[in-house]
Order: sequence, then structure tokens, then C-alpha cells
Amino acid sequence: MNEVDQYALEEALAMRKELGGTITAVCVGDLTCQEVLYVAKAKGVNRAIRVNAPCANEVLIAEALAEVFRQLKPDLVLAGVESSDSMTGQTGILLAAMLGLPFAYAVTAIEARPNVGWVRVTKELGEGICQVLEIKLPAVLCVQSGIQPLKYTPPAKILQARKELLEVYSVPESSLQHSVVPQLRFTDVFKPQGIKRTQMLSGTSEDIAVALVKKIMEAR
Amino acid sequence: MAGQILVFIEHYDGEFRAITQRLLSIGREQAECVDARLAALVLGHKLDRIVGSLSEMNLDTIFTVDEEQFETYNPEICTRVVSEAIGQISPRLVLFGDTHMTREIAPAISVALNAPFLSGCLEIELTATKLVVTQPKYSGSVFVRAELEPVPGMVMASVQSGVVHPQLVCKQLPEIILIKAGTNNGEPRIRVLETTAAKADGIDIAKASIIVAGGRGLKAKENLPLIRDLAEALGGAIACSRPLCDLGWLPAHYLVGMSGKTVSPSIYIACGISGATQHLAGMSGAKCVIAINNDASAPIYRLADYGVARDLLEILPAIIKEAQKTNT
Repeated sequence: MNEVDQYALEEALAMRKELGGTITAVCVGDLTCQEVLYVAKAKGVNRAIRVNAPCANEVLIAEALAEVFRQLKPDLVLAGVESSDSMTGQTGILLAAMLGLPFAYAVTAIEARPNVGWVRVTKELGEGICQVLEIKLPAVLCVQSGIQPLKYTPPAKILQARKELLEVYSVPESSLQHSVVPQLRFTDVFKPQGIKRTQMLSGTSEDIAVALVKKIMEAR
Repeated sequence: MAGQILVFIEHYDGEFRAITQRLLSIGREQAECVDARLAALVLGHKLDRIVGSLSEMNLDTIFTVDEEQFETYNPEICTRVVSEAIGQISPRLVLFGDTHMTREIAPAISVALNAPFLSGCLEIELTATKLVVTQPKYSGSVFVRAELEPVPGMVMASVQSGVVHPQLVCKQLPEIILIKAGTNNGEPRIRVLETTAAKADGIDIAKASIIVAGGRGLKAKENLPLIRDLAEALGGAIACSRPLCDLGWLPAHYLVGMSGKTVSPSIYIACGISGATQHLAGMSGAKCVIAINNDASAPIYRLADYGVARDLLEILPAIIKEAQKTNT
């Protein structure tokens, strides 16, 4: 499971503990993503749904999720800020825009009180700036890492969860709008090149310490 | 190609966001490549100072949306108004900084305008027929190059921090065009209660000339004194990467990166920091970077002048001892 999605899930579990309600974990992908849903089950979600749909890019994923969420009608959608593989950081907000829901990004705290039907949200604006908002539900919140401490999931619980059946919703490619899908053609995949030429220091700890402090004194 | 390249300008408290210079320099470079005009779009209230500074940055046009309701950023209003403004301006390419605000509103703007959005680009190159971008994938461990060909009527892209090419010498005074925001009759669904900068109990790491920053490689909170002691011995300040804030070891004002501070000290010593793109965005301006990380393939080494691929907990005490000796 993506690291930030783990935080989103922990936040959902904490909110349910305080407020009640049910949690549905949803993941778009083929059979290989079932393992993520088993972990979510083991952590205590009420339902786990695999959305069987093309997931070549963030727009298609958001469109498939939007299809399913129109049926599920959740009060609150929590997503992570970005996936660690594609790193586009767009899926949550795209989903909100497609569903016509209000949204917030890089959320670091969620309070369900004091207004019924609204949540109070603290979020980052970057460069150390924070904002506190009230958002009307239903809404989509993209959760930042660190919102809740991550809890350990015993392997026995995951093994137990693997015995349960997962729900599957199928969204065929033909039913997706392909609205703003960038027709990108990948031409190269490469290891990042160094921007600077790094001089690696080696030797005993003392040798390294002497050499490094000398470099620091020169550079200061 | 002609047409326009539009740069979306972010500002807070009368100051540009750190990425602005880079965006404008990329915008100018690309505009020259395809013979396009370079424009900026800025939203807010009492924008005279911002527009004054922008006027000296070699732009052809500055579009402003200057109304009291935009004094405070509200994602819902901003998405609507920026979408409308970009729709009116109708540029070929819209450049955003890869910031939290962009990540919040740009995907929704792309849906509203039906324009593809390429996020988190490290490099971007526009030609008459195609758009070529370089993007990081898999936590920055690989980069991909991708082409968009043909280029649709309008494309949006966000750019990560990095090198600023000196392209901003003022050659002309821009035309300034005021855009009036349309009214919205719908009920607001987002109310902004407050916007604040993180409090720094006296320490502003952005002003330190030597920074000793700790990351996940410190392994335990009990090891924090190692970076404190080194910072003290060198007369510097401590800072950290995201995991240490998430774990609650250090408060948010010590954070360097996209969420936290952007720093450009003389010396930046990264201790046990792998170098996620969000962190690099905050420290790539450091003059001399020293990386200590036992994983010699960690992305932090891309930016490092000197590297020590050894166990942090074993090497730091020796460095502290040597630094104390040298300074006494």
C-alpha cells in the first residue's frame, strides 16, 4: 500500500472510532492489487472493493473511481496526496472535480465538529504555511503523511483477511470518458544523473571526519 | 507556433513563491523556441507590488485578477476564477510551479478546461509539433521522458524547482490587462477560517548559513542529539526531512522541502536523508551539499558535493569530535 494511503486509512479508522459510521476501502487495478485490500481488511475496514478497470494513468483511474463513487455515495472520501509509483499527485483532486465535490489537498488534521454536515480541515499550503478551512460534505480530502501514527498490522490478521471475499466492481474501458487523458508516449526511462559531481570520502571514521571537517571549513 | 505561454504566479504576503523565477525563466526560454508571447496570470488583492516586480521580469503581458475576495486563497473560488481566466486568455501552454496550491487546484482546472495536465515535470521542452517532458517516477528512483504529439489546443504542466537560467533581463515593459472575475451564484462549500505561517520559536532555518539536517536514517529519537551536537560544533542550525516531522520528533518549522522551508545555506549536511523529490525541492539551492547515507544510490547524492556512504550512527560521533576539536 502506498505510504500516504496508509495514513489516509489510519485517519479513517480514527474518525470511525470517534464518530461511528463505516469505512470502505477502494482500489483500482487488476488481481495484483487485492493484497492491498486484504491489508485494509486486516486493519478493520467494513468493506473492501476492487475496481476492475484500466489504470494506465491518473485520469482513467479517477474516471473509474468516479463511476463507482456515484453508486456508493460516500459522505467523505480520503485519498493520499500522491502515489509512490506514478507520483502525479492528481487522482484525488481529479476525482473530486469529476464528481463535482469540494476538495482539499495536503490535509494534516480533520475535525468533524462543530457543524453537522461540514468538516474542519487543517492543511498545508507549502513553504511552512497552513490553512484552516470548513468544507461541506460530501467532500474529497487528500491526506498528507503523518496525520495519524501508523499502527502495526499483525500478519495473522492479514492471513485471516485473505480468506474473505472481496467485492469487485467492473468498469469497462468503453464506459470511461477519456476526458483529459494526455496522449503521452514514453520515449525513455533512465536512472537520474547526478547534478553535481560527488566526491565520495572513504577510509577509517577518523580519516573521513578529518577530511570532511576540512571541506566544511573551506566551504563556510 | 506563435500564441501565448502563460505562467501562473503564486504569492504569499506580498512575496513570490520560491519557484517563480524558475517558472518565468522556463517560460521565456520556451516562448523563444516557438516564437510565442510570454504572459503571467496573478490572482489576489492589492497586487501593485507583485505586478511591479513582475514588470521587470521580461514578460509580454501580465493578466491580473485583483479583487478583495481574493485576498485570502480559497481553493474553491480560486479553481473557478483561474479556470475562467485561463479560458479567456486561451494560451497554448500554462506553466505552474509544482506546489501544494497547484496540486490542489490544477487537476480540477484541467477538468474544467478539458486540457491535459502534466504534473511534477523536471524539464519541459516545447517545439512546433510536440511537448517533451521529464518526470520522476517510483519515488524519484527513475526518470521518464515522455512526448505529447500532437500538442492539443491547450496543455497545462507543473514544474519542480531546479536550475534557473538567467533569462529575466527586462527588455520591455509588459502590457497589463485586468480580468474581472465572474460571479458565482452557487452556495459556497468551502469557508477559509485562517491562513498562517508556521511559528518558529525564534529559529528561522531559512537564514542559517550551515544546516545539519536529519532524516529517517537517524533511526531513533534518541539519536537526535547527534545532529544537534554537530550543528552546535559548526555554529549551524538543525533541520529535518518529512519522516521526522511525521514521527513527531521535530516540529514542522524544522522541515525542509515542498511542505516546509526552502533553504539555500552555504553548507547543507544531509544525515540519513534519502532525498525524496519533495525534500530536494527545498534544499537544491544550497551551495555545498554533504550527504551521509549508507545507501550510495540514494537520490540525495545527485546533489551532493561530498558523500560519505557509511553508517550514520558510527560516523557522526567522529565528525562531531573533529568539528569540536577544530573549533576550539
